[in-house]
Amino acid sequence: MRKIILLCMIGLALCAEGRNIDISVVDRPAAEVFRMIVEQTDYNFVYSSELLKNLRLTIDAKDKPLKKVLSDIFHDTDIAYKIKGKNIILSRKKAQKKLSRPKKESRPEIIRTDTTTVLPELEVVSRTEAPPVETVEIGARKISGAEIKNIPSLFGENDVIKALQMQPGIAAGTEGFAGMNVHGGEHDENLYMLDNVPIYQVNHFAGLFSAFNTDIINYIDFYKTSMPAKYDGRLSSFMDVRLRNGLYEHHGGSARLGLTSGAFNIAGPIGSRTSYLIGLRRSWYDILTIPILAIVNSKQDEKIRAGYAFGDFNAKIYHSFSPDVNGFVSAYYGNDYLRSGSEEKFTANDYGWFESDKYNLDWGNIVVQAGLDWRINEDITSEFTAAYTRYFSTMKHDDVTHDISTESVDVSQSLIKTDNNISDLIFRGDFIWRPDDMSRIKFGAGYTRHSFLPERTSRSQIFNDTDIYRRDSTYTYGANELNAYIEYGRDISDKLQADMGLHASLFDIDGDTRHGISPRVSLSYRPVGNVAVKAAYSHTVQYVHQLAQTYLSLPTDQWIPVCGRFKPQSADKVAIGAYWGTDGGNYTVSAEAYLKSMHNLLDYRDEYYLRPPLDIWNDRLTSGNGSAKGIDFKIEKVYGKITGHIAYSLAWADRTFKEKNGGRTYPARFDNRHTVNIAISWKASDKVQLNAAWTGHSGNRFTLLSQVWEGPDFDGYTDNVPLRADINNYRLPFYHRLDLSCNVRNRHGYWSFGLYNAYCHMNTVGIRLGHKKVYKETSTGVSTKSIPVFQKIKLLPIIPSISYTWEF
Amino acid sequence: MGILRHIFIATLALCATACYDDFTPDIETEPVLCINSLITAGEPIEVRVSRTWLYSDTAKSNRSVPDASVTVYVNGTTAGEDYIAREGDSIRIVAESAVYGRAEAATKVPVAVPIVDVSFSLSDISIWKDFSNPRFMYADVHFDINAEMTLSDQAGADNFYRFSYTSFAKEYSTFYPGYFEYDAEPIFSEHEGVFESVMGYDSSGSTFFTDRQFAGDKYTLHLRFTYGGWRTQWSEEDEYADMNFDCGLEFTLSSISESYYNWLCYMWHTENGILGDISEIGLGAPLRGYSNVSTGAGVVAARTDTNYTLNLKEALKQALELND
Repeated sequence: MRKIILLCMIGLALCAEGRNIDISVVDRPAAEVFRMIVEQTDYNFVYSSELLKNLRLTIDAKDKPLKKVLSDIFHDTDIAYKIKGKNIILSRKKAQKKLSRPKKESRPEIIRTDTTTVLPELEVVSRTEAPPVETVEIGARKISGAEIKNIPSLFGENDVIKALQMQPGIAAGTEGFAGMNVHGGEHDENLYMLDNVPIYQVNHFAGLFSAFNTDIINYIDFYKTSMPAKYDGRLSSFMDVRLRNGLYEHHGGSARLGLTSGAFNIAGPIGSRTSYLIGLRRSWYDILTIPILAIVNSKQDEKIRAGYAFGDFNAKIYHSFSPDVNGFVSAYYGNDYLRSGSEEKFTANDYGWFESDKYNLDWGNIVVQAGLDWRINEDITSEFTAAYTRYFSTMKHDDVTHDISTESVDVSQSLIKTDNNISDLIFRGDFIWRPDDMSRIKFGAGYTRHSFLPERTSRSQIFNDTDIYRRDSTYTYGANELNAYIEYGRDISDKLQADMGLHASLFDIDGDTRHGISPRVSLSYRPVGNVAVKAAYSHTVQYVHQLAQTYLSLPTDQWIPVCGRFKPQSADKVAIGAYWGTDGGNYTVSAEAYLKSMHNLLDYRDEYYLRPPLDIWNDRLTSGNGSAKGIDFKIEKVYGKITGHIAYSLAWADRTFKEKNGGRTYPARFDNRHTVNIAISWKASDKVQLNAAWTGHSGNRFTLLSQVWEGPDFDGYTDNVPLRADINNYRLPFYHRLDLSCNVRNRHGYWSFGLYNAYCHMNTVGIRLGHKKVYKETSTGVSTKSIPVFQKIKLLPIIPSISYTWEF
Repeated sequence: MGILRHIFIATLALCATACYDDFTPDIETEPVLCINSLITAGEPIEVRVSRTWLYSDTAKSNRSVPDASVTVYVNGTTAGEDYIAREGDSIRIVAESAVYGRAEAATKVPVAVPIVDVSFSLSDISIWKDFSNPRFMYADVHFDINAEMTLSDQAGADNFYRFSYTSFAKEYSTFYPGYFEYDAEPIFSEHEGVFESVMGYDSSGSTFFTDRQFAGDKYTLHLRFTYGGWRTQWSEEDEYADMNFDCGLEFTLSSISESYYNWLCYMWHTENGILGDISEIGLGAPLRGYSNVSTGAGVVAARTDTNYTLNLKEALKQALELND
């Protein structure tokens, strides 16, 4: 086995030797030189940052093989290099010569993925960080797991979605919760994928935390403007979270303990060709509530029951069948549960009763998949996926009463149980063909069997085992989706690049077949070396959507297909961009403008809640259109001691629905005119890293019901009633917040300290019609009076966090 | 551990007070006319006209509209002052004011719903009595009432209903029907969403429903009262002894207009539903008041009642005789 791997490595090394490089630099930082090499090859550098300390390089190579260039670079240094797979691994020569086992600081890990940094002291320079000047896409971003960890977060829980919220053009939703509204879109218009498989519920705890365990994320691909032809099915964005593949040389991992949750991750080899990765995460909330409830329950007859927790589990086994064929199987299970209720008991001499009231809510995701990467020949690579993904939600209320007398015990039970879920069975194949050095063709096809269960409810009342009442209702839909795509990319000249694609889809539900044709075009022109201008057009189609009655992510939110009188949602987006970058791509300045029109959007109609829930949901919905436009500016620095970006967005977004707001156009909730995001990471020393993120934006739109009228006195009771007003007629105050975090390394791991909302500016999330008490001195004393006032609702103050991660 | 409890309560109180901040929004408002009227078949129409005002405006004196004129149209023609509402009439109310403009609303007086059958039984009966002294006899009966009332829905229309009840008893007896068990009749909670059902949101007092589940058909309401009771005392000479047993419930089944139903539904969502709770803390869109008036202020609704008297006299006497 080892011989085979050795042969593969030699083969790869020979391949590497065959790739020639042009490079000419004088006294430049080593990391910058590596970056230039990466840009000309398919290889990544993996090394300890300590290794390159103060190392500056001078080299002049014209059309030389990679191995020769590497040899020249490291000839007079104490650094050795080794090519393994697509990685060029650096270590100290001295340590390797003297010791049979390398010293810890010179022990680079073999990583078979593109950008993983398993141990924080390792740095990777790779093509995945290619600066925007060199790519053809607009609004595309690849973010490594390490970068996500550098964004300070609420309760210290690093979060993929909250990291993306710092990018321009993305509205964060309700404060603290993981919303993502991209370029004026809605929260359900983003396709989230885990290793290329859709995942429907991406939040824990109503959106406070993301369902993705950042400790095991390799990188994420995110597209918000130039959509690859491979993806369709959502209007606003596509995000693929790629997990690490494991380790090949030793077992290693980490264990993290934080205020709200803990995590354990381990990776390692199984034999010489197989690696594994396991990630576990669980919150502590239910444990924290135990002593509080014990205190409360000790003082009263009624015993309160309450508990909440979330957890997720990832497992992945990666196997290399041959140098050209690799496969993996993986599983993800994420779950939230909420328990509440009470128990009360009363006994007298000859009678008594016992009442138990229980509420159970469980919701989450399951994803199981198998993937195969096959390099068919030098020019064609392929990826095959078979997967099953399921979102589920179960809620149950069980109320049981025992009436006890000397003669009998009567048991009455009221039971309500409801489920909603969506399951997809997916098969797909994706191919990349490089017919020549200038062209790349991506194509593929897939089939998805959707099973929707928007609602299954069972209500029953039972008395002494006899049904008094029972009503069951079930709504199910099955749908078949077929899609195929082709994308052709070509470097037309040194200055001009183009990507053209087409995604076609069929969606059949109950014999009613809808179709979508989604063309995509991206062009990039580089008039001079460090400047690029780009243009893009994309059409997207969406067949499923999520019904949510609140701004939170609740287990009652239902994924349902577009059916009946409604047409599939669609969007057209055109964008242009201008980019300037420094040599080596350390600094990039960009401006991207877009114009987006959305069609057949679905939303609840006015006063939808007046229709009983037993009505089919389509009757509660209305369809309409939306538009969005804006421009995103960004200045970014990608490597060095200080990295980060400053982003500014100027944006407009609105909606028009025939059965909402009297048919009048109104601004979208996240019609944030101005948004500024600043994210900075400073590696103060080898042991200390400081991160800061400041965000400020024009307030969200809100429907302020400013007038009231005297309610009808139909039943001897009247109150003032809010007068209807135009939707989102009021802009909330300017939102701003600073988050800070600090990672301090020690011998075995690192501490993370965080401050969410560091200067404790409690932002307004809404306005309520409240009352306040007014005290007035009178001749008989002090009288109180309650007067109506408008009140800003503010949610989150400063929240500190701390966690420790032990690495092994 | 006492200190821990105080810290916990103090922390909660601090959080609660920090969450709301009084302010005056910079927003223009223009008052409009408001019409409220509940039209009941068999009764004259009463219309209340007022105007809207800024929520934080505490001056109550200016909410009336002295110059308002009101016109009532019945089936397209102007109604006289002596008009009495009739089942099936289409009624339109128009109010005008030189200052606040015009408002109008229309509704239809619903047709009475036939109650085709009512049955009941007493259960869980417990009796305390003493008939041994003819000059002072007393009885104290505790029971649950299980009634079933069947209505016949009119076909070809969307119908809306509301159930209510009152109790009655004679002067020398005491009757209390006990707790009305809303949960015994599932249709009373048909307006609840899934989340509200599961989380046990309170539906007490909500007895409005639609015919969506039994359109054009009969439907039997399950009406259950628990922990009810009746007690009285008498002597052999009393002429009213038999009358004392006259007690029971007056059931009213109202056919209500859609606007009335919508109003009741809105009120429930505001006060008892999750939408009201969520909007109170800024995590959901605020609920705007339901109105069928053109200005968005006020409700013009209609109802027609069908009554049924449930007298427990015979059942009580039977219960007492059975236990002799």
